[in-house]
Amino acid sequence: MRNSRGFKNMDISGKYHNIADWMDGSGPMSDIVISSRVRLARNFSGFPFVTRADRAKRAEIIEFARVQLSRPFNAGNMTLKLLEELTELEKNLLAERYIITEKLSRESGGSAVAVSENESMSVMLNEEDHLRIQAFASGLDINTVWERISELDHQIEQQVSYAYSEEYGYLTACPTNVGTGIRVSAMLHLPALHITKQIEKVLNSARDMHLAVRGIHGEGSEPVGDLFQISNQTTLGKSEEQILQEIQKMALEPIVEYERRARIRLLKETPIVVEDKIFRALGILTGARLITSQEAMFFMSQLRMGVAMGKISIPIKVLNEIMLLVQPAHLQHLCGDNLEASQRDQFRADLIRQKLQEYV
Amino acid sequence: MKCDKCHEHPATVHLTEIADGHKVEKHLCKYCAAQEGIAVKNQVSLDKMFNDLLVAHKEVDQLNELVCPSCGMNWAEFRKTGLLGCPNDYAVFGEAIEQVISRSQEGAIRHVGSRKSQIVPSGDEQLRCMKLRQELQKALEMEDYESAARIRDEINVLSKSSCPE
Repeated sequence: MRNSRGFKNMDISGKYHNIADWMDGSGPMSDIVISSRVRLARNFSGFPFVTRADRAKRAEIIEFARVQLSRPFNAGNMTLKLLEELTELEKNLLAERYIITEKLSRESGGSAVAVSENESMSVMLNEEDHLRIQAFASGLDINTVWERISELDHQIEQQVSYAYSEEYGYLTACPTNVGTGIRVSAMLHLPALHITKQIEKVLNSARDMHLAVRGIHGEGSEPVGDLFQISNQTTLGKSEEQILQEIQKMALEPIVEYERRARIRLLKETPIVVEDKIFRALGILTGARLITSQEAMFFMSQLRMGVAMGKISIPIKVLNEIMLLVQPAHLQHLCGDNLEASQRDQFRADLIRQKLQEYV
Repeated sequence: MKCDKCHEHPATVHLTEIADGHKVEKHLCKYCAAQEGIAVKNQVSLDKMFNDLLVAHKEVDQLNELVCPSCGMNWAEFRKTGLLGCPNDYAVFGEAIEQVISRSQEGAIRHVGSRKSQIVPSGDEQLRCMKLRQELQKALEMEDYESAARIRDEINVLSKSSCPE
């Protein structure tokens, strides 16, 4: 299945044939919470924000970061890559793996990313702010992620001076991030709330709590596969710990509980309908010769629910892997060629059958 | 869930009314809710926030005259993109930016999170550093090495925290 053509400049091509360790399906509440992420927005003092930085200034900011932050980057086993040195495919791969945002993947130059060997941490340079520091973990594990990112943030702060004011805290290009600059998010899988038609109600109450609800690739992305990203919007007037605590206790944990109850209700009230959904999904995923990305995500969602309900035994890690590898850039990377839509559907179906083969 | 009234759009407004001692639940889409005169609280966009702010602000012209001496950002441009040009803009736009912040941050206007671990350099010093860097770049481009050396000396005088190397 592998083809080395088209991998020019790809120094770690083999790496993108698998999921990162942090997506291994472990961690608390991983039956419903796919992953946790914390992001910090930071800017260097003495430089204009990215909005006002021309090409030369952006290059200067990257060079400044490369020199000043070499110690924290080395300590975190992080490698710095200039976006302009990456191919379109590589940029899209990084975006599908959450290492960079889709916004950054569309930038032509003047940006960079430092990524740790295990991909659980990355620092985007010249995205909307000079630095966007991110850390990830599998399951609902916000506190561990916060500890890790906060350590890196302190290490960076020992080397450089951040733009900061006593009044507003950490200064960011967009005032909606000012203060702590923190964005805490979790990716939730909520199929039972969808089936029982409670999803809108739950998501609206999250919105009423000043939380943002988005699709799998953040801002502007449509929800697919019953996956929803929930994150805080308020970054000022609360401490980081308070923000973490609030989103976890008042939103994420209750939503996980609602989803669990909805699953129990489904199993109790309409067990045959639920089993039918799950085993049909398995049938299609292990039998299809052609499958679109949308269809794959739809049935993968039901399969994942079946696994979480104990109806089918497949490691969550394998499901995470399939959900990543069927995305356009990963699929193209695995196959090594630019495929036409129909060929892509065939390759996707082959890949899913192969991954699920040993579990049926 | 579809709207109770038009059965077409998704119901996003959920009401419980008590009429004649009976509880009545209503599920409406945003359009039908608006027709019934129910105000739907949407997530407020930055753009709307700015417009509201402008309408409320009687001295619109005065606001538009605010220009950051350091990065050249003016209020109108900030309104358009929602992004500031440099840290100094927070001081330049003063009360106006405070209102924008308050609206997007649940009314908060003061940072209470973790403090910066170093001594915080004054805004003036940060601004001076930025200007000197710009001058230095120009001098180097003009191959005016004498001025460049002088500017470098000036930068070196500034504290490391306000003007990192």
